Amino acid sequence: MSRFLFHRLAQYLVLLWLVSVIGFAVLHLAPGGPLAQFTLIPGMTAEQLQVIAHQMGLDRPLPVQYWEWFRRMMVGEWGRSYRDSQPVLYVIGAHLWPTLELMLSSSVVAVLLGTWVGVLGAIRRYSVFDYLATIGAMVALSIPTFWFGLVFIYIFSVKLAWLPPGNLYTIGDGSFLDYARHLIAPCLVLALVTIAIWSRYMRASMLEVVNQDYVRTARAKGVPGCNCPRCCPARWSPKLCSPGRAWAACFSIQSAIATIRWSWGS
Amino acid sequence: MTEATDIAATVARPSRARSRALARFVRHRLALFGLAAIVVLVLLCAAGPYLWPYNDLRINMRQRFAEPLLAGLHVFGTDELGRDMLARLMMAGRVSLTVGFAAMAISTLVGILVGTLAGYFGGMIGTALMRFVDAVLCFPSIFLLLALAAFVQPTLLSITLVIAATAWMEVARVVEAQIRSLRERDFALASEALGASDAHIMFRELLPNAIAPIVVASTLNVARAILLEAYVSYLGYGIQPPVPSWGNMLNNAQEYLVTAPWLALLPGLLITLAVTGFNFVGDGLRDALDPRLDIS
Repeated sequence: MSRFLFHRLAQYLVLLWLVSVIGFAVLHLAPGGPLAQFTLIPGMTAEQLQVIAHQMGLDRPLPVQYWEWFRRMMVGEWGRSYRDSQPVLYVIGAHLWPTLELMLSSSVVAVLLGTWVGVLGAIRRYSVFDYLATIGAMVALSIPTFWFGLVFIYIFSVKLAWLPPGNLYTIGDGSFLDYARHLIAPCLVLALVTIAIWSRYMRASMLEVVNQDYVRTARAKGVPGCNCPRCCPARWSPKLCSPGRAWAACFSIQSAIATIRWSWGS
Repeated sequence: MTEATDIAATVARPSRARSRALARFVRHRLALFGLAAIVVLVLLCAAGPYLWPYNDLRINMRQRFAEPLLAGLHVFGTDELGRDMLARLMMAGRVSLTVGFAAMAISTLVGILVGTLAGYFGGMIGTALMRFVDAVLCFPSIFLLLALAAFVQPTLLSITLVIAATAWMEVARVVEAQIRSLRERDFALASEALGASDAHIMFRELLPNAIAPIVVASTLNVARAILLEAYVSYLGYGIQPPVPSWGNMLNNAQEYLVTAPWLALLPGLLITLAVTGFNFVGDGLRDALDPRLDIS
């Protein structure tokens, strides 16, 4: 077991390193490289650009630049933002909290609703509820999230005026309720896709268990009604890990979308 | 095992046989619905512009923001420049669907190639290739897409290639897993013993046996590609106006959400319809082609 963990860990370290190389390369190979935005300033001359490149160390060979970047990354010196010269760590920190809040709240909603839908779908397999949940999940996975956000704003903010159409809070109103009201719309929209994925996983893992012998025995002995407490704990722990990748992908795209759509945390 | 399951299920639900037929029928019908939606959309986008009196680029400033159904022949209304929405939606559909199909074809080819090589040779080559796939998978495809889109002039071809570049990994993984297990089978070993070349074993013996999951994955890839195209075009890095695509129509429409909501609702509905269609068909194919799977 420890050998396996060690092996896996080593693999992931290599993977992380590869990711750092690709990320670095993509940003530097983009047309103009990191200097591109300075060329847009009116009156910028080639000499001035060279000075900037020299001061930022961008005239050194790429491998040297990469090594320097990597070394500083490791020790926590992440440099300053190209845009406004604030320390990068500070900028990330300032935006981390709203992002995390959004992710956490929407995943709590998604796990609760998704579990409910999935478990009920498995227990009442082939019921009307199950079919609707199946179809609903497929459609939810097919809707472009940014468009769904737009429709959501149109219905609940423009037509019904129930929810605020954007921002983190009303300026001058710092109450928790106001904050929560602003959280509802992006949270629900982000949760939609995750609910769909999660309910599918839950349904599948429940179905594996629901017809096992020990559950049948329990049922025969007259364990009342809903048999999920018996079914659930046995198989859940591995299943909880399996949607990890989907999870990660979802969040990265969706929090970006929430930022654009609701000017969340920016 | 299946017998036990059946008994248990029969106890739980007496009408199981009927339900199963129902399940198959509904599944079947969903896939058929998806297929119908795709066929209708493709036909509409391919033939529609020839039959429809309005041109998608004709500007008419006297009829800006005509509401759907209220302005004569402009069934779906007009946009901020008085261009007919239906004509634009059909032309946009051509672009979006073309990107979807083409990106699927390219990403499937690349995925098959990488997956087959990795699965067949295994060892160092396989590990290196699959770790590379994992590394690319680590990047959110939107981020990858935007970074790549910044490199290239956004044209139909380049956007297609960029989308394909972010979509081939799933196919590669599926194919690699299939090939790796298939190459240990007797027929592959026999072929090897008979002195067949690597290429022959890979592409004539193994690959045809892995076709089912590839078909499923590539159907789902069309859906993905259409969604991705919508995302980049919506963000302004994809297909550039005046050429319409469902994604960039949404980009312009956002500002008019309050006064002219149909500009935003219609393209989104069509994206959803197309993507749902491909997902339903893919799901149906998965059920139909996977012998292990009891209809569930």
